[in-house]
Amino acid sequence: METFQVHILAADKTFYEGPCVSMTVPTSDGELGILARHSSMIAAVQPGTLRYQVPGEEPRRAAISPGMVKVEHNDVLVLVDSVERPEEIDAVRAQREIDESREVLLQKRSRQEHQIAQATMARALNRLRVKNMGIGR
Amino acid sequence: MTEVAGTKEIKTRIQSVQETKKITNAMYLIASTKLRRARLELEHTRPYFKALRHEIKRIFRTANDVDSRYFYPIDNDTPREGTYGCLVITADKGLAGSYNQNAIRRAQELLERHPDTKLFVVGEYGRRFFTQRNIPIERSFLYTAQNPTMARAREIGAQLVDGFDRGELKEIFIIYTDMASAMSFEARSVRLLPFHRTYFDTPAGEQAVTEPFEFFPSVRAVLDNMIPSYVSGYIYSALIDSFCCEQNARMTAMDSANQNAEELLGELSLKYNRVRQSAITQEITEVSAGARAQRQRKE
Repeated sequence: METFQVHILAADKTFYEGPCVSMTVPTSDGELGILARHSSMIAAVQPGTLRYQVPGEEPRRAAISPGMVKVEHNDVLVLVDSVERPEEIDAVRAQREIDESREVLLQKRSRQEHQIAQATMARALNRLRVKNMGIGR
Repeated sequence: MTEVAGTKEIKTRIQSVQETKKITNAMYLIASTKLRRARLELEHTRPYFKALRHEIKRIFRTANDVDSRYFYPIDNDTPREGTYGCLVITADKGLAGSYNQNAIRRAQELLERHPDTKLFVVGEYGRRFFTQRNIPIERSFLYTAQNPTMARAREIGAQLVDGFDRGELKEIFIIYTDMASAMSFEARSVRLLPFHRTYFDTPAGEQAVTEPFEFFPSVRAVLDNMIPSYVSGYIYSALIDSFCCEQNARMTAMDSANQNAEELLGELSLKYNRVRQSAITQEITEVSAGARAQRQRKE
């Protein structure tokens, strides 16, 4: 199968750079599949599961946070705050974060705290989901 | 000899200088380790940040008629009226040369220019400085200067962007210390939001957009998604950059403290030896004088 170059960059590290066969990105309009020779586009990435397949390997998945994806001349750039492999995710920590943010949401705190807690919870839930999918495979 | 201080006093003095030197030396070593680690982290964030800025720039040029609250209106880029927000990054501790003073001076300049500014302070030093002078602080982030993480930067960024989105803050500034090279650094005051249209204009010679991009779901949505990341990314790299400078400044300060201690120790030990010698000389003179006196009496 034809391949294309991907650069997956997180704020704290370069996650993956190299060839890729196919890739699925969660966007605000639903999952977006990218194959070689995709037309040029830029999309907003939502927190969710990123799937990508390196030639000759099993598809890999990772939990990603909001950001953007750009396709240009068979070159895909994924820019997000954080990317984590299932094995890097600490299920216990994610669960604890979910519990903590749920507690904050239950108490009537300020709007800001509410929003931060909501965002934390969304991230933690997403991480947990990716982690559990990784095990089920 | 005109030495007044006795050997005992000089000895205690030497000991205390040695103790201080031990501390400054330890601080030097700690700072250098922290600096190495922080620099490594800075290297990790660079590619992301560079790419992000680059893409915003390009989106902006592809669709430069886009109307977003994050940009100045097309034909009007005079500073906005109203409350500003300013994030000031300082250290948790002093003993770092002029590092803290420089950042605080920048903040004071901004306050003078625009008194209606809410301060968001990172670091214990800055917090104490402003509270002592009764300058109100909107929010202070403790324990962040020591350990800059993406989660912290996201939290700070979310607050600033939230204030901006709701119109409480009209402009957002950040004051941090930038490491220009390994040896020199300077405190900088940068406006984070809103962007100047010219800010993203690039020098000629950069890769031009050959085909128009398709935007999902819309240019605005993409920008709205990217700007908070950009802000938290900027804050993160500013935090790390400042942290590097702090450690560097502390290393320099501690290094000169060590040198001063060495010098002082040299002087003191010279003095000590002199005093000791003169004491011995005096004793010998006394003994021999006494012996001679005894001999003379016998004769």
